[in-house]
Amino acid sequence: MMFWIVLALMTAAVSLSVLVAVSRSRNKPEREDNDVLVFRQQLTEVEDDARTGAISPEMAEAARTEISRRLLAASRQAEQRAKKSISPASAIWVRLAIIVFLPLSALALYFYVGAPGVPDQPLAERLAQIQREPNLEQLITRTEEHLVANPDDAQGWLVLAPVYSRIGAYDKAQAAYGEAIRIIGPNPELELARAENMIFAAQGQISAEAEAMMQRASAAAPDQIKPKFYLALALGQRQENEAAIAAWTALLEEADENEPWVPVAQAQLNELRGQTNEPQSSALATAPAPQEGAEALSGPSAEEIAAAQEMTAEDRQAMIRGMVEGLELRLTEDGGSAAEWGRLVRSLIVIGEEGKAQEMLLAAREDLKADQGGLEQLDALAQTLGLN
Amino acid sequence: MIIEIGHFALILALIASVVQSVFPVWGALKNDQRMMAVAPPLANAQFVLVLISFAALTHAYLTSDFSVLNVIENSHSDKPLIYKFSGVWGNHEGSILLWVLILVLFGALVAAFSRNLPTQLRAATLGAQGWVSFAFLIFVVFTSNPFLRVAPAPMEGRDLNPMLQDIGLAIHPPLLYVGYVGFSIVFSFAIAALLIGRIDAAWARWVRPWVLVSWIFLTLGIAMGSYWAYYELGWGGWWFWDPVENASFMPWLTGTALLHSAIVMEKRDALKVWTIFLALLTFSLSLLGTFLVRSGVLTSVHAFAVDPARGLFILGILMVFVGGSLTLFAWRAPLLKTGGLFAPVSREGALVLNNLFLTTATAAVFFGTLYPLALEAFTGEKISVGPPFFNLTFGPLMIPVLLMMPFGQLLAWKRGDAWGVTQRLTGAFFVTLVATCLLAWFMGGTGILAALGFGVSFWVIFGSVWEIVDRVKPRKVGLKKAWSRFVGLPKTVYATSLGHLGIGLTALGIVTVSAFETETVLTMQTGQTQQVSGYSMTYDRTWDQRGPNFVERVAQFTLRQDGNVAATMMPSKRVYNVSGQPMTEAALYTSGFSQVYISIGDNMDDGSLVTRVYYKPLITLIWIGTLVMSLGGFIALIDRKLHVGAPQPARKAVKRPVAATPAE
Repeated sequence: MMFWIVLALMTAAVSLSVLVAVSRSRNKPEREDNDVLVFRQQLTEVEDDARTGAISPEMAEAARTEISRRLLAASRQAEQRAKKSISPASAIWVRLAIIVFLPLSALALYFYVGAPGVPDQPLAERLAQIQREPNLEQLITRTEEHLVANPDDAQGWLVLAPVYSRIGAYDKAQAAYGEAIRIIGPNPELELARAENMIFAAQGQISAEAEAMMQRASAAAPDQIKPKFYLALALGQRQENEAAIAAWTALLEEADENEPWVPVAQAQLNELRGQTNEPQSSALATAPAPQEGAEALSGPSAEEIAAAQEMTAEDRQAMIRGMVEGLELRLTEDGGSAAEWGRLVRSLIVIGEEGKAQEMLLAAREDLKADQGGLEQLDALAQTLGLN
Repeated sequence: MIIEIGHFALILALIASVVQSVFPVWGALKNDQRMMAVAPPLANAQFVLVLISFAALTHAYLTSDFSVLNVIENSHSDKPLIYKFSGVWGNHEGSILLWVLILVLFGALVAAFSRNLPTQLRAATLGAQGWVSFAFLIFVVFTSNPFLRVAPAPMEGRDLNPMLQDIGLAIHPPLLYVGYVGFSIVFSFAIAALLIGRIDAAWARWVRPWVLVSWIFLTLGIAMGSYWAYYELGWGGWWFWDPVENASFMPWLTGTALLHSAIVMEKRDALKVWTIFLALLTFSLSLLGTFLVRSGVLTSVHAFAVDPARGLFILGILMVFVGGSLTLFAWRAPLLKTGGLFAPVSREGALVLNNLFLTTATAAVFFGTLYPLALEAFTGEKISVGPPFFNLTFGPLMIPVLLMMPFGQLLAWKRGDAWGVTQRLTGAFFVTLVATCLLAWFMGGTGILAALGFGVSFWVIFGSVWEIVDRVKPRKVGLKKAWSRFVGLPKTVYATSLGHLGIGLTALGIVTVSAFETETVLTMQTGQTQQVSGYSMTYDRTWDQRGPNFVERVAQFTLRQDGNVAATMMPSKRVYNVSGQPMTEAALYTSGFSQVYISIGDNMDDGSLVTRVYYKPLITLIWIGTLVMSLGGFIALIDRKLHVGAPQPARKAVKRPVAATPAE
């Protein structure tokens, strides 16, 4: 609201200042013809110069003659220049432009190119927001208490479940979805969410129960990719390599190359084709690190930002998670600079994995123990993020 | 909220410029007071609105608000505060916004300081200014909008090009833009005169401060850019005849010509049409410069982003303004009356000659800059027109200008006495001769060209102050009287002398550096000492250290002269964390007007360090000269008088009274 008031005030101020000026302008004639005035002034200056001796008397005389000649010509011209009258119509046009055209077209153009109402997001405030996260915990506790008293409130469970998921409490999340299903009855969407959380909780291992739920979800919505993705993963985990290969191939055929899960699927497929008999590790662990070397430290590229804007919130979360996990894998295996570690820790905080962030901070200290400057940087970071 | 308010303010300013483009000009043509009255408040409103929007963008940078695309692309939370601030215009969008901010600032200044102007001229000028700001505001909003948002906001940005992370970025672009954009006011005044079809007597007087302000800032901006390139690029060059430099140099040349022709117009009512033409030409060249730099036609540190849509847009603006103004000129200029006659040998004649040489020099730079681009565009063939072309065309054109300068200062208006002036300059000539011999001997120079160069430079230096000596005549009247005369001199005399003196100093610096600089490339081991141009230089040690957003390797050198330590110099090589880009930071030691310049390269396999050492005799004179020039311009600026060129009376007129007396 405040925002629109400021906009209105700005526009009104501009319009008013013009309207006042327009109504004040009388149709006064020019005071004296300007040229004549200028030549008069020039004459006085020549007199002054001659008196102080800046120019010689002869020069002053010559200058005077010349200016007088110009002065005569100017006054003759001024008489010839007749003053034109003013049409009253002009005032209407001006007022119309100022009162109607100016505010309306500014507003229309702003709606077209601007982002009305999007708040500022200064970095300091966002970091502080992250530090206030305990509030979220309190909220969770309060909701939990409420649900203990009213265990049949499906809405409550549905509010709580994604929150659990976001803070990484996948087991609680899947249980909450389970409660909701118990109350509402079987529902493919909820089963999909529950199954996914079960998988996350089991570090990527897909249990028979989860697989069954995925199958039901897939049957209910055959267009959805997510259940098929996990089903393919499950086949691979059970060493049913040929079926898995077929499933992945079918998925990839329909896929748009730019979708975030495609590299994971591709990696799975390649691994299966390579006929290794080792058990499949979690899909995420095999996700390729998005970028290598110093490159990984640069911010997201323009394409990535554009891609992120077009994704749904869920996909976006998955992409960010994928990038963070890639970085984590690389740093824990090969080590990295303080800046890279700092980035990882910060990113983990942003996606809500505080425990993990703490863990990585320890790993970073271990990795950088020879680098005094790096350690100091880490300490400073830990302090701003409220870690220890 | 602040960001979106800034965005709305920018759009409101755009709409205000639409209104300003239409009514004031319409009103001026129909002599309608009401329509003309909208111009000043709209000019003020535009300035306030763009200022709000610029402040909002600056706020986003200072608070590292990564929900703004422009901030993500050009900032980083670790960046030092000063570069967060200057980074606002260290990118395409922000720099165009700064351009517009200065443009509307000038518009508001015209509205504020032109109350005594004829209403028609004032309204038409502000209207023409409205056209320029409309063109650039629409460019900002539609192709270079710095307020685009991103959701979700990333936690970090991509940092600013390390080459731009320097105090130079805080100074050079604003100075240069004030120069470029200031000429838009002169342009608008010229357009207004053409639209109304009449040049008021005091037109040149009203235009004078704007020409001077623009010229002063353009001079300082170019000089600052040159000094920045000199210490930042790491190989000690101070002028490269690079297209981007030429782009700023061309409006400077025509602006200098305009400065002089406007004097003739103000004092003698002559050269009116030519002055109008120069005003159009100068701003057209400013626009050309903006096009070359901003379109991505040239790849350089200035071309922040290559985007064909932007290039086409600026090309469109350029064609409309240049084509339109020249058409208007061809159509309306015959209406303007030409005034004041003068003899070929006179102050006016000398200034015409100055204009002729300066515009020819501009043409030479213009072809040298654009011919390779045009050739590449049409035939795909790549050629490079390097310094030799410019040295051979521009150089010879400047020599007569420099030689004539002292004469021009002493010649009388309307009709002058060439022989008399030559006699009066005899003293300056002898002083020049002595100074040239002394300097040539001191530098141990044998080259005839260098000696000639010294001669020309000293001629300008002494010739330019000779006018003061000639007017004060200290030997004739004694010191006390001379001092009072000196104090009483018109400001224009100081202004002219300082302006020309500055040119002479710059020329002296250029000649000396070109003829006598030395460059030594060494591979040095720790503890090793080398002799370089009269100094002995010891490589002490090297170490690594961490900056706010970079790591650097610093080498320490001790410079000794005759066994005494003259300086400890610490050049370094940096690698910026985010971009991974390496940068060299040269170390400079100034002694008198000369400098020693060290920049380091890579470590060799055996641990030795590649070191480049330059000795640059009198190099700082190049920039000191530009400061002196600007000071001259500043003194001319604070002179608020109307100027009348008192003509030397014809001989006949002087004699007549003598012959007439006996008749009594």
